[in-house]
Amino acid sequence: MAAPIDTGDTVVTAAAMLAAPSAAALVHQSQPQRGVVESATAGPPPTAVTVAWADGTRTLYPVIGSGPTSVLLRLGTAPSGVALLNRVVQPTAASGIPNPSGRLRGPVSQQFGLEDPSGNFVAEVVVVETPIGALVTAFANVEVVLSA
Amino acid sequence: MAAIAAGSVVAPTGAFGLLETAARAPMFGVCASAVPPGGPGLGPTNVVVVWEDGTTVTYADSTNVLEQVLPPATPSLLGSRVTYNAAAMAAIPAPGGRAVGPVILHASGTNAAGDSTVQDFVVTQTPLGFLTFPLSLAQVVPG
Repeated sequence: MAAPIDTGDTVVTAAAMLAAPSAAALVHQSQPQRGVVESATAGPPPTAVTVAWADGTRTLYPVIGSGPTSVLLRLGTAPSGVALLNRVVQPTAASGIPNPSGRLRGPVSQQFGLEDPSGNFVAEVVVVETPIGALVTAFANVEVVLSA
Repeated sequence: MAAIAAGSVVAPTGAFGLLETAARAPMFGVCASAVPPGGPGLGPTNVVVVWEDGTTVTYADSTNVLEQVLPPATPSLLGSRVTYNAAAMAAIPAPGGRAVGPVILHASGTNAAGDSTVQDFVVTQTPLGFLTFPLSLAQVVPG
């Protein structure tokens, strides 16, 4: 098992990682914000986690949960070995994500592995900048658009 | 349907002004912890929510202020252009197509107690802002 969330780790909120087509089919209105763990009490799961966010704010999370009920997730290595950053992609037909008039197509702005607070791999995720917002979804749900 | 508990996806009730546009889309959060409700019709208390932007808020009583967000029960309209059904909503004007826009969210929702009817709703991005309405009133516009 990988190491749990600790000082210096980069994290995102679970709410910013709600991915189509899972908790709700949505595109977020902004890219997920990243933060760095300033301090944490060792767990598992870690508690009293203080995060310094990219916008300069700092938040203390007394409880972050574990597994699927976690409120913070750690960014890790994208295991596919395929770099999609800046490539134009769209949802695959098999993904279950609709793509009417190509509105869910766009360049990939972020790609990373996602881990729960105990360090267990959750998914490889891409963030796609579409005309209607930031689509967060699994790496396996998108395909490169060759013509763009 | 269960009441809000750790891991539940939530949105603020105040973000859903049905049929009136809002300046921003509903923000989502995940419940970090909650004390189970005291009885039927009541939401949990001491609900700690971590919002998308990293902020965390504790709600002493979630009954009237938080909604639960669930996967849509019907095929997603994400990305489709929709407006509200003119026949069903004859009293609501939509001049110049200002109530038409792509769907940025299609989900089901219920109240904090988990005892209200679960129904699909969509949020669209219109020229005037973000418009929320029940799926039963949605009408897909070609294009």
